Amino acid sequence: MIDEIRYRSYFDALLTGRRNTCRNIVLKLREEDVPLESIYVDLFQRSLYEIGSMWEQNRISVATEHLATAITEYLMAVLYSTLFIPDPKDRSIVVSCVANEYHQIGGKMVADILEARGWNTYFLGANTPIADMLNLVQEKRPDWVALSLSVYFNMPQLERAIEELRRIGSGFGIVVGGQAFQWCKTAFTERYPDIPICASLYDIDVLEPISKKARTR
Amino acid sequence: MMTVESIESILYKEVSRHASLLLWVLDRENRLVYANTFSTDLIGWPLEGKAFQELVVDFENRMDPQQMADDPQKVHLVHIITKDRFPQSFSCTFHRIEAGVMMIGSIPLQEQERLKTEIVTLNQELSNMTRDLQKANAELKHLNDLKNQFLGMAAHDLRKPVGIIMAYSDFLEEELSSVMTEEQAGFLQTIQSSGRFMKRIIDNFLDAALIDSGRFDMEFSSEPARTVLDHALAMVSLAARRKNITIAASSPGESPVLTIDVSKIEQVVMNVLANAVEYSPPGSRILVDTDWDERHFSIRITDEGPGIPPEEIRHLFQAYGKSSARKTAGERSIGLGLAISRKIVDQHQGTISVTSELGKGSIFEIRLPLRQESAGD
Repeated sequence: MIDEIRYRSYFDALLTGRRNTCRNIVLKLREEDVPLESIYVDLFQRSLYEIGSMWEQNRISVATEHLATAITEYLMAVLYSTLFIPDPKDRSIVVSCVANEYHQIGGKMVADILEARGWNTYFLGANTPIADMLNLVQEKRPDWVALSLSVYFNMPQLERAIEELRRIGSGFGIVVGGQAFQWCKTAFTERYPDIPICASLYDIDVLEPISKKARTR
Repeated sequence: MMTVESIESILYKEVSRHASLLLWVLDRENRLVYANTFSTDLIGWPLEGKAFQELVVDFENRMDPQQMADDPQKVHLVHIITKDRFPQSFSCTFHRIEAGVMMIGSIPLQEQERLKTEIVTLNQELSNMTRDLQKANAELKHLNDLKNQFLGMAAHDLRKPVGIIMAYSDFLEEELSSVMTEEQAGFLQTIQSSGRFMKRIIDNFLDAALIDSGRFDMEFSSEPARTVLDHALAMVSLAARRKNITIAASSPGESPVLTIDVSKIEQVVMNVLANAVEYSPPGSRILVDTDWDERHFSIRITDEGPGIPPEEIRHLFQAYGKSSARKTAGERSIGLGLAISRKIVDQHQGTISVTSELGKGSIFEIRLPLRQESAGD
């Protein structure tokens, strides 16, 4: 639904830090009733992947990459008001970045998309200490806990978070996601065969089959 | 006589000691033979002897300082992993020297300044958006408080006249039942059942207003589980008899003592039982069984009603989230009973859940801890 010309205009504006141009493109898309999920996947995710790839090829600086991320998060905040769903919800998820993980935008996108799909989401931002995450899980008793990992080096923190979550109970499913899994999908699945991987927003449907029994407190 | 240092010497010393520049000397195998103080501080360990590839981010393994030095005018973007594990970009030039290659790298200041300005502006806009949001939130909270206040007042003021209508209709039934025609008795029964329904609505509105305002307080005391169950069963037995529904309650024998708000848990059990009666077809059977271990007590209520569609289960315990299934004798409800029940069970650190199969019936389970952590015995 987002044509190549529009995507390129957005991408060029994002790369050169022209926030208002990006904002106008996004608001125009919403005016045209382009679904939020499409904006997230076909515009935000695609452009950030492309920028990440340019960074990996030493074609842009860290500053440019940070600016693109900051602008995208700002646009998500602008869009958030349009995704408010007043219907009652009973599917819930805690989305959290692990300790030392400072890339929060992927987890936030997952939380926003699920919110738009009628889930009740609790988003914990970057570098969340395990104790804080466990407290929220015990308080909210969600159907799922999603752990986001972008930097592969933080894998030990993720494994610790999984062990701790398993220690406090089994009333929820655990799912992991993020860019780090493009490096270790097979190894992770061998170690944790029961934990699904949501490597990008395209895989978000792994969260849809929830327990048939409505668990409530 | 004072010796005057050359500009080159001063520059070299300053770059070596203070300047925020990368100054690396690499041998012909691309190993560092010298790095300035800034580089060592930034990366966090001594760099001499390290390979160039170990210190930079180069996913595609394309950077070869020996080749890059072929064009000393060309500026290359080089990412360094700092001691905090965050990458930092430098604009670098590579120069051929006798020992091998010298690399000089600087942070692009204009770009950093632009980033700083943009981040500050973004932060200001986000902060203004947060302010608007908080303002809207405060206004909504105020409106919600007003709604609760109105609901509470209206429900409270309606309770008395409804009570009088019910009392006088009961009085009429007692005094005049022998002289009333069948039609008149029917009218009176309609007044009584409408009065009961209205009282239930008013009670639920009051509870909902209290829950919403956060003033739904619990009064914990100890009570045998058996007593709670018996009271709730007694309250629905008449309605069950009218529909010829059998309630089979398995005897818990030596039932445990629960630390609960007795009237509110009775309200929960009665609510679930009343629903089971209302949705069950005449002549059917409702099974009530109990179970407990050292930590929890559970009550399961199984009916042979129409079942609840899966898409409705998730909304069932939310306010006004009633099922589309029809009650079998035209009983009415406004969809607050299970939401209130859930809130009460929540306050007891318990759970209330349902499993259901269309056409076969539903099983509701109320699970309560035997001890309340915060209530004290």
